[in-house]
Amino acid sequence: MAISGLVVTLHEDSAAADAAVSALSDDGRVSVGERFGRRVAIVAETGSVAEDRDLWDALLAIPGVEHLDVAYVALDPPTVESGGLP
Amino acid sequence: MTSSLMTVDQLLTVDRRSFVKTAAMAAATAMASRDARGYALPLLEQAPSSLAWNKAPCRFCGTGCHVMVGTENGRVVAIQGDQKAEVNKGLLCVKGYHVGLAMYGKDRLTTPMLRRNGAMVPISWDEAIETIAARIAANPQGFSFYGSGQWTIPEGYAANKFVKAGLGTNLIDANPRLCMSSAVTGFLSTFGVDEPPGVYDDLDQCDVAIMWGTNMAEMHPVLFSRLVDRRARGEKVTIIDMTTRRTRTSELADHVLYFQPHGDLAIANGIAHLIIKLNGVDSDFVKRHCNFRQLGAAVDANTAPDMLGVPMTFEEFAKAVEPYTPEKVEELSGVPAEKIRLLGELFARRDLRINSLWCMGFNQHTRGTAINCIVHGIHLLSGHFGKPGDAATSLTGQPSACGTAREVGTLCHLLPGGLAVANPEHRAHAEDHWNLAAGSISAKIGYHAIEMFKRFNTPTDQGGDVTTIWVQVTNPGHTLPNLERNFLRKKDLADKFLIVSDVYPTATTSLADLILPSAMWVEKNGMYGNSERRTQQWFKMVEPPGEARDDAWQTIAVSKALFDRGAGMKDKDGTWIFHTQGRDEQAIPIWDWAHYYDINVDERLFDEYRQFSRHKHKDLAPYAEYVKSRGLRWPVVQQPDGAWRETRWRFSGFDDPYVDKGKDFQFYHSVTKDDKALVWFRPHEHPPERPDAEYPFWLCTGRVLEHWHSGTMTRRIPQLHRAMPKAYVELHRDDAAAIGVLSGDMVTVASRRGAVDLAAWIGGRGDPQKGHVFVPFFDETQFINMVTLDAYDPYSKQPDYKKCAVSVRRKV
Repeated sequence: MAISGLVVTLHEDSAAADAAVSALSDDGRVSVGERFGRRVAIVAETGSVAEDRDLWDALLAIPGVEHLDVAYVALDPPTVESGGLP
Repeated sequence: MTSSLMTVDQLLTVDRRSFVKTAAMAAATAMASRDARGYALPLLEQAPSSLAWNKAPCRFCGTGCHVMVGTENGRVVAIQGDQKAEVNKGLLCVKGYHVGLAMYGKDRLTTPMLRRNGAMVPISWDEAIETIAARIAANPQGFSFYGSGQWTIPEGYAANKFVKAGLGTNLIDANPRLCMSSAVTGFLSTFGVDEPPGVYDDLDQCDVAIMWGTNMAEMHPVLFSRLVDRRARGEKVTIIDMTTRRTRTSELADHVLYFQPHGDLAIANGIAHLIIKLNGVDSDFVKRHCNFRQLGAAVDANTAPDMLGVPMTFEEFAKAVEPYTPEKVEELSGVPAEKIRLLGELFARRDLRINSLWCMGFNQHTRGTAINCIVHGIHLLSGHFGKPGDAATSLTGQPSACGTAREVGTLCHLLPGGLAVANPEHRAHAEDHWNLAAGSISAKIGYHAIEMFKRFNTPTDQGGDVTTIWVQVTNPGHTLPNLERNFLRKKDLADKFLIVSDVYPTATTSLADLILPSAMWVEKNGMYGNSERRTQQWFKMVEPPGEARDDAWQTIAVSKALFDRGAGMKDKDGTWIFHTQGRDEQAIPIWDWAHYYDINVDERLFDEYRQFSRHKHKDLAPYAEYVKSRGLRWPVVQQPDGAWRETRWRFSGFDDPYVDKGKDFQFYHSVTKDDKALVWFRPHEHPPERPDAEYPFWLCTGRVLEHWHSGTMTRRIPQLHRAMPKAYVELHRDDAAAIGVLSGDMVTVASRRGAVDLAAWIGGRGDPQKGHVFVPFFDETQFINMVTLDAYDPYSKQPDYKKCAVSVRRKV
């Protein structure tokens, strides 16, 4: 399981930006935090590595989301142990 | 809505998951609110927790982001962007976010191994050290060191001293030869001294950011965020993407200019032409601060003209660029003439600040020195130089390509501090610093990377005089071009001996005769130097696994074994070159692993090395200053009050302490020794190999967001591996249709040198022009470097991974 703190940069069009925040709020994997103009803080919680990728792609695919940055990640020991060349 | 801040009482009572979620939200909120006045940044290291937090620069690219590393029970368990770091201001990219996991792959190398009867068998460290020493002592002239821009500064310094002071040869080179040596020759040709005059602050103050063949959104995402952030704040920043394929950078650019390979030379000359035509020359700046140069005649057909060139007047320069009209440039580059005019008009405007940025697209180029020089030239010609936001900035791909290769001088033609092997005065300076007898340092330049490996892969009796190579912190068996010629032939040459220090099994260790397990990143002390002249420091935080040990210790231990054998490694007084003593003047046996951390060896090596930095005005502060900071940008000069001050804009009178008082600019290492920079004319030339009937496509290789270089670390991080599990070939949809290929179909990409099978990706993350294909190089199951060309720039010796001719056929 991974818990990430992300910063979403929203589109300059305010209607698109508002719609993006609404879409983020509807996603059960995401907790939406405070919004500062075109930036909004979110926390994402995923249960598997496949979910990690799906979530990242899904966030970038939301209309009105321009960019994603990572501010924090928690590396739970089970994830750390799973490293190894496939 | 989730609250981003909790009280200490709350923090003490929540469960671990809730705590982590709150911490993640706090960090994200702090980042999102960077402009919200009065917002308190909740620093995690102050939160009640069993985690210990310490600073370190990220292990991956050359940006130099700082992370806060959380450790618990001897393991790295959390990573946070460092809010105190100027470079990244708390942000990280997806690789940086996973950097802690890079240490915990299941197949870490943990014991030395020697090849015996074809099989690798575990041996002791003592046997490993003696084996290397015996091999070098038997033929020091046949030994070469091959290092890395991932070497820490002290590691690189130790290796450089080992070879140049200890063995009296210059047989050392490093992988920055493959990634940024053309930037070096560009800076040297223009300013007489290496490394960018500007800094990342230019990103915060430019009006126009021009990406010259660099996919900054994916390769340097945190720096790209600085531009995106400014837009988010309502500032106008025009982003221009000059590229051969559509990338994520293109999606966020105002203008995307698709050009043909080597078209960049024509475009830059076309801009010079228009600056002159549009009266955009900053005549006062040019008259007072610039000379003009072009290449002289070649001695013969096989030798490039001298890099110093010959003088030309401004009028002759104007005549030389006269043919590069927008229409002619369109013909040569494929970029529409109106877009060339747009670029010329931007450079001709004095009211704008323009930041040019580049990385491998310019440097991995058989005319890499030329294109670097021309772009510096158009900035100088138009006066877009030396003011915040007006800069020509090369970015690097490795965390210490600048700090270790360029500044410590771990290349075959350099000495520490930017001194040159070919310069007798510089050799004398080095002999003085190292307490060597006059003439000890060889005047003979060693072999650059491609030449080193060519000779290693050539039978000894046929001129292959490199018989032993020691590779540290890099993976040439994956990253050299034309691998069959430059790496794989070694397996049939019984007298060649390959030593590899690494943390995981790699393509290089697969042919090694001796493998040494290394400590990595925060398993050891370290220092890096990033792309903006920023020197960074960190302390060891966790123990390396098994018997893995620091690379610098390995070098020092072999040096001591050679000294004990009487095989060099001594100064003019007969003292071992790494002799170290404590405050009580008692020798500290740092060659003995049990005593290596009795003192801080990094500090000793760095404080010795920094004495070199003053000759070329690259002054470094004492080690202790870097402990206190998130890095300092050189020259770092002590002030009358004892404080150490970094420099942001070199050669600019308002900031650079080495510019004479009263002068606005001064190029104090000028090639022409008159404090002037050089504006070069270098013509457009075609690349050495172009598509033809048999090989009709252009191949470009490069990186992807998720993986770093040869993928030995990032492919072991499940999240990154799953996100990008295999290499692929990007095809234009028309080309795919013509050869009957859909996304996911396997195709064979072949050149005159080799072939590789890859899945096709059409309309994916990147989208090449018609007639072009792109393949990322990270995947060790599909070596695209079996296909690439090993032609290189005649001055920088940097090979061109960005263009060669290939065929693409559906795999039957």
